[in-house]
Amino acid sequence: MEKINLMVLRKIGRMKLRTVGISFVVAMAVATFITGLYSADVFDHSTETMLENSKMPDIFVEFSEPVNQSDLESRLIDQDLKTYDMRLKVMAFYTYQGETYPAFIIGMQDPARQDINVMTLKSGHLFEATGEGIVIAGMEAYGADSGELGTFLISGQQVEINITGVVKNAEYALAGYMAETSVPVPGNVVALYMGLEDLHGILNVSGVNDLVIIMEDGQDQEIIVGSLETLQIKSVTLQKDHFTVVFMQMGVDKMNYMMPLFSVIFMIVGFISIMMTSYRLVLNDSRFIGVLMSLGYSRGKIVRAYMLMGLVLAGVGLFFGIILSFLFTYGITSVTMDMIGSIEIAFPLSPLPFILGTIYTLVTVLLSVAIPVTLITRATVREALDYKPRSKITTLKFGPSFLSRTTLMGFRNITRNPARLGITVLVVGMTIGMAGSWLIMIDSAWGYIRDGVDSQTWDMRADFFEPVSVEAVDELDPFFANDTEYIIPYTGIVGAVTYRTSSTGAVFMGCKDIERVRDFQAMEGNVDLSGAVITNTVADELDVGVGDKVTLGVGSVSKELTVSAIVNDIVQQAVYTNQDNLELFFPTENCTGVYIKMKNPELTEERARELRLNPVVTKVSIKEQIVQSFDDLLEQANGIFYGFFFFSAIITFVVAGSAVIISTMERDIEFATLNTLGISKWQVAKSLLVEMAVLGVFAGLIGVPFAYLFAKLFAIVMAKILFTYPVVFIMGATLITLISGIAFVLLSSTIPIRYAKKVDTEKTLRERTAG
Amino acid sequence: MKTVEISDLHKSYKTGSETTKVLKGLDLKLKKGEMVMVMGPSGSGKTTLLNILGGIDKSDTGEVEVSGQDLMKMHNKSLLGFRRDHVGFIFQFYNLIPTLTALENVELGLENLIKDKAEVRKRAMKYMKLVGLGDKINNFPQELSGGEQQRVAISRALAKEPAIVLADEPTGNLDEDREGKVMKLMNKLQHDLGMTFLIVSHNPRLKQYVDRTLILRKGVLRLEKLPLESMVSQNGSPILEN
Repeated sequence: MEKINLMVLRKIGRMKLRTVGISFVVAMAVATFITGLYSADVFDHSTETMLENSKMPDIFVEFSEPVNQSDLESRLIDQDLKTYDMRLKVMAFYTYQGETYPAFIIGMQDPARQDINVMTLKSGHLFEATGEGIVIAGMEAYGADSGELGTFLISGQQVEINITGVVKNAEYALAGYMAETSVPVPGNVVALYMGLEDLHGILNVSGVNDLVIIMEDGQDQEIIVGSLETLQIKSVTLQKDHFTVVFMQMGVDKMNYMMPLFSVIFMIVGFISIMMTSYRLVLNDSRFIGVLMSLGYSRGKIVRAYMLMGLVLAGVGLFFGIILSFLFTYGITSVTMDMIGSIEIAFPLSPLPFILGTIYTLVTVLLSVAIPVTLITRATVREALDYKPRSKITTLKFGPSFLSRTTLMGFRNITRNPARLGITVLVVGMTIGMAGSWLIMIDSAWGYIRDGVDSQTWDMRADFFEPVSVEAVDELDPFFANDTEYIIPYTGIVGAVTYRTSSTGAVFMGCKDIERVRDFQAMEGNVDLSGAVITNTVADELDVGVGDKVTLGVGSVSKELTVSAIVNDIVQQAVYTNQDNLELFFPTENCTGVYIKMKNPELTEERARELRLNPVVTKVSIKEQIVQSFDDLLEQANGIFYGFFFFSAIITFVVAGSAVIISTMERDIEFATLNTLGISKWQVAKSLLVEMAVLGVFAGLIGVPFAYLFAKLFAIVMAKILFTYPVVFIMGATLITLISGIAFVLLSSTIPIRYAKKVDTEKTLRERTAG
Repeated sequence: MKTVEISDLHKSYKTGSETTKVLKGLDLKLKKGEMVMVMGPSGSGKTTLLNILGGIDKSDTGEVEVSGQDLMKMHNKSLLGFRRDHVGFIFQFYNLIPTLTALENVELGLENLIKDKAEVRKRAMKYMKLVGLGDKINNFPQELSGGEQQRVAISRALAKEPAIVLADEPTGNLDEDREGKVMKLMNKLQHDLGMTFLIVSHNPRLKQYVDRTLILRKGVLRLEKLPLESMVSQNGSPILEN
């Protein structure tokens, strides 16, 4: 090896602390970069693996009435399918300790099948005999657990089922979530699988009304569904439209959008941090570079030698960065997966994030080394030899005069290099902003959802099996007449809303007194329900504004309405209008449900239990339970967001520490001088603490607008993948951002304090100032 | 009464596998209120001697007593207190704190000595005026010439009114006129306050201000061999054997 290269490599070995410091900065930068990209892949792969291993059906078909099994089977055999299962599915209720919960009861032949909708046992065993069943995991706390006797209300009969096991499967992987809300909200739902003949016996019917199919590759789903047309199909759900897949895809999209954005921000922070650290390192060597030049080494050789040093530092950083990226990825994805349904993590063989991470690291480190070396070698030998590795010190006479001189020094040191201060404050501010953005995001979303729910005045909502006459609604249940403040019928129909050539699916909500039921937060226009009040998501998708005419369509029937207002709403795809406007689609004398406000809200749960027993009612939603579900969900999400917050705050610690250590390293003569004046290490530490505190305040103040900027960026991403919420000023989150930013910067002062403490006064004075 | 008493002082530095002996059994006694100059070639150990006396370096063996305190037995914390209370350093390259003004630099050394802030300010002002910088108190070191910076450094050391002032080329950047004024100030303090000075310098002009001049060579101090007429110090006292 050439001596010049050997010399540079040995230098790395000697500067242990700086090597560790730079490598750590590189490692953190590369780890966050790779984590950002790789966790999206892991999320994607894990959900795909789960769907594949669980043999999730390609098509779910529901029939309006039970059909003959043999008839159905003969049609299916003709289709030459890979496999299928014919089942009987009914809505029921599960009761536990006086509470009633909605339940799906599914009668099936063989729960042990491994070729379709695989049941993975979590505990107990599969059902074998009459009166036995297995339940989907998630409701164990409500008594739906192995060895328990579950009480179900099936078609008006109370039936006790011996629960033999708890299982997981793809069909109800997210059974506990309410599909109707745009934000996935946990709801307490039980799914029970039992013997088909057993269920036939309970219901006193024969046949099946539910079919699940796995196709052979290349088969056309339309032909398969077409073969069943004469059997009164109620609904056909393709795998891609199944709630499990849709929700998981939302998670994947979320990761795919959010994590790369996360990594880009850290890439910028990492780039500046690495540049600052290694740039200074090379500049400090300029005299040495001058010596090499005087010995006749060409610029190319010197640059190459320092690039070698950069390569080693990048290599060490990459090694630890890749290990860290696996740990970070595991941490982030496991918490997220656990939150949405206990999905096992599967690491894909996905080299792209690592290749990009390696390229990013090499480019950053090598650039940050090459630029200063090139600059120095462009100077004359004499200039290079004369270079003193000290920045020009700018001093501003500020700081309260009553302070001790050491404390004053701390204040003044802040501005000794304004350009570097600017970069440091910007970079540290960005990391603080990154940390704070998570808090602002979650608080904004939470506040928005709560406001949305609070703006609704109803206490419970009942959905009907079939349309009910508006006239008859008041007599539907005995308590309606005495206990309620209002009962307002509504009609909800799913259709398509079209503007020019664009079209999107939406729920059309028609209600005569909707303004009594809820408030609207109009973003544009005035809420006038004689026209169409559309959500901002629909407006964005169709690029439609107030005053434009949109067409609502259900099947072949359509109705044109003028957009009167665009509103922020928790339900993303919705159009609100007068019930009369929906007359073409649905007779105004009928309704699909009612909003109920109780005179005494404390009676809500009791009356809801009674109402669920009404054969007309398919579902009763209690507002407070939805609120509670939102709270539960957001509390779970909080865990992740606080995790992100602390992760970002650690980056703040590293970035602030590595930025300040550069400035501290220039001050060893000052530390030595202070020591000769009898100034204690504690006083020096206090001075550095003051300096870091001021830096922390500056960075924190810069960090707050960054936090809102990043939160806004995330909100844009969230709007594309989940739901829209406005980022609003939140005092608590702002203060936490500011205070925690300052705290983590202060914490990083341990790095320069440790350095100052280790300065050898005698050696420094002898080597650095001897004439 | 002796302010400094050093006997059989040994100090060596290890560079790689090589050990360089700098001080080899050095003896030195300085009386209270005495001013002594040490001359010697580069690398002879002059700065090392100053550092050991100032308690920022330790000798390998020997006895070092300054102001009645045995430095060899003192730990870092008590050495810090010793420097604060008894020693004033004047550095060749001033070593002023760049973010403090000239006056604040002087106050920096006084803060831990004097509780009363007004008294700190008064004392600092006094010494800034004594070195002729009464009009530059609010200037930062970078705004001062080399000579002015040196005078601030001298002011910082003298304002503490320490038992011993250890000066490394204290007048290296001063013109002859200013050099004379500064040395006379030191002489005044030497007599009025009984301050002891140990000055390391290559400047032969300073001999006229000091009580004796010693040469540090081969690790030991020797009295400079001077013509007979110069064997009497400026103040008329005979030069003492060390």
